[in-house]
Amino acid sequence: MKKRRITKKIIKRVILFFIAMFVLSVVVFFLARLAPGDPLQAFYGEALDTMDESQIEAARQRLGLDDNLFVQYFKWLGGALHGDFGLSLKYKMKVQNVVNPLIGNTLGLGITAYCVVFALAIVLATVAALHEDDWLDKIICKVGTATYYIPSFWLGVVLVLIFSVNLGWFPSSGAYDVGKQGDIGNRIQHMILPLIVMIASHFWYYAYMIRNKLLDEFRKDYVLLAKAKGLTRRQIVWKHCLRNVAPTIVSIMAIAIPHVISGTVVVEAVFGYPGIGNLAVESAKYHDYNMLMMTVLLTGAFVFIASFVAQTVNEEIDPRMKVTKEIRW
Amino acid sequence: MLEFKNVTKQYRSGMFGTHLTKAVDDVSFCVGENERLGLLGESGCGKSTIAQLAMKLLKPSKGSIEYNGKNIKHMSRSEMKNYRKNVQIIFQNPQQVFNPRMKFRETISEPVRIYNLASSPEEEKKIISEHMEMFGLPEELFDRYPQEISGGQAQRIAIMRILMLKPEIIIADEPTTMLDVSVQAQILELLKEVMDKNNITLIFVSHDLDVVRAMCKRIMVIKDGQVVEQGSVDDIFDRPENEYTRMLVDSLKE
Repeated sequence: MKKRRITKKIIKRVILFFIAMFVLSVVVFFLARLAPGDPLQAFYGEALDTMDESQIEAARQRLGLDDNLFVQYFKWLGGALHGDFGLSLKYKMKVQNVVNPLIGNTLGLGITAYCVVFALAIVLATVAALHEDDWLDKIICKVGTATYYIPSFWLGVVLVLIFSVNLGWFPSSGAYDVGKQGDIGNRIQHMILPLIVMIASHFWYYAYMIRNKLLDEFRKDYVLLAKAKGLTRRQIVWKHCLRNVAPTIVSIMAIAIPHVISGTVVVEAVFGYPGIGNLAVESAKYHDYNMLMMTVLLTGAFVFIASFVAQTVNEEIDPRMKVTKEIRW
Repeated sequence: MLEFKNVTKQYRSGMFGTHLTKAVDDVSFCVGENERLGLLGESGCGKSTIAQLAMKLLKPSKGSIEYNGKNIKHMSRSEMKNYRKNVQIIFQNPQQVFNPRMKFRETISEPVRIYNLASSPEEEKKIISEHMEMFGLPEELFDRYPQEISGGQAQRIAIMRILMLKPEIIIADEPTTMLDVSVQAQILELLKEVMDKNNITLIFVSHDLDVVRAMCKRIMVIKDGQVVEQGSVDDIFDRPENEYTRMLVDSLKE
């Protein structure tokens, strides 16, 4: 019975996922083509100026840009369903071949930043909440707020100036030195500065949310009773409050995924870090339609999967969600 | 047994904390073994603050609270644990004092574990189900969450949970105000029965004169954080000396 319900739920979510991806692809496809500008510019660059009418027409035909928009979309869809996402106009190769080596870079940076951000946020939030209005809480809050409001592009440049230019401790750009592609130490060295910027610009936002949730929880009557019962402070925080706030933290973590991913865009641009974020911005700039579709669908799929996982986990740890669902149906 | 000596609790308010509000002002009283003391007063007069001060949920700004001659402020960890076991409180909103994400099975077994009342899981189960039976609570309540049962049932569980610890003093902070009238009487009866059977001291906080008269032998009337009059039930109701007390009693007679 329970097993059947779970399979049913999973099937429902998979169908939802495909519907969502389809809608997303339609929206991105047509919106990208509504933007003014010529995609041929990306493909031929300067050479476009020297081409005559008939040559341009032929080029359009070859790249499939002369068809009706709907025909173009279904051609793309047909290819995509077979795993062929088309040609990048800027790089003049298959989209997958451009994207594949970069995914690892972005995911590595994003996931590491994400984990550190939340580990830091949860610890700081708990410490601050436990010492509410103490000097410790005040220091954490003030330093956190200050770091959050430092613009990340500025912080990136300053860090490069201090640690790469003056001290020479870390490289200023790229994901690895030429010829050291497989050297993990070298990659980590390249990742440290971008990571610091990512963490500094994200952790406080979440730490503050979690801190406030915890404080709300501390003010509830059952905490008074727990105290009167004779539980120690630590027992109350661990066994009652954090457990009750956990579903909220999971939801926040799920919502945070797109936020942290979008954070990589700025950082990748500042540090010249080869990744998906940078690629997405460039493809939009150069009308590299197929590339844009690919990057958007990739991030989209990532966000959808993350939120589905979060929802499932949430239902498992919060018994109240299940109860209300039963009533509703 | 429990003694308040010139206890004052004040809060700073206003933008720079310059304004002092006295919630409890120089209150002294003493409850002995097997006594029934009623704290009577309108809402906002500081009754609940007194209850929370006695539970050490709040700290007094001035004065001291002593239990068997020892100031609760200076108690060691183990003394405090003993104090927490012997002095228990019933709150007014039974459905909010239980953790909403814990089943009653867990909530109820927590005190048993903290105070090592049971040596084995079987014994723990036995203690709990014995008490459930005593209070006429069906065992199916175990697998419910606080929001899934009625206020009356929740208050019964709250009282039952306290009784498992065999305390010396119970502080009841308006235990019936949030309940239906029909349930109120049941809970009061239950409380009275439990007190008599176990020789427990009761401090009953309420704004309801009738309820206080039924539950207590001695009454303290509180206004604006100060004790304006205290005496036996008969004295207060038949021969009130203070203006405010007289007004309260008269309002009841009408």
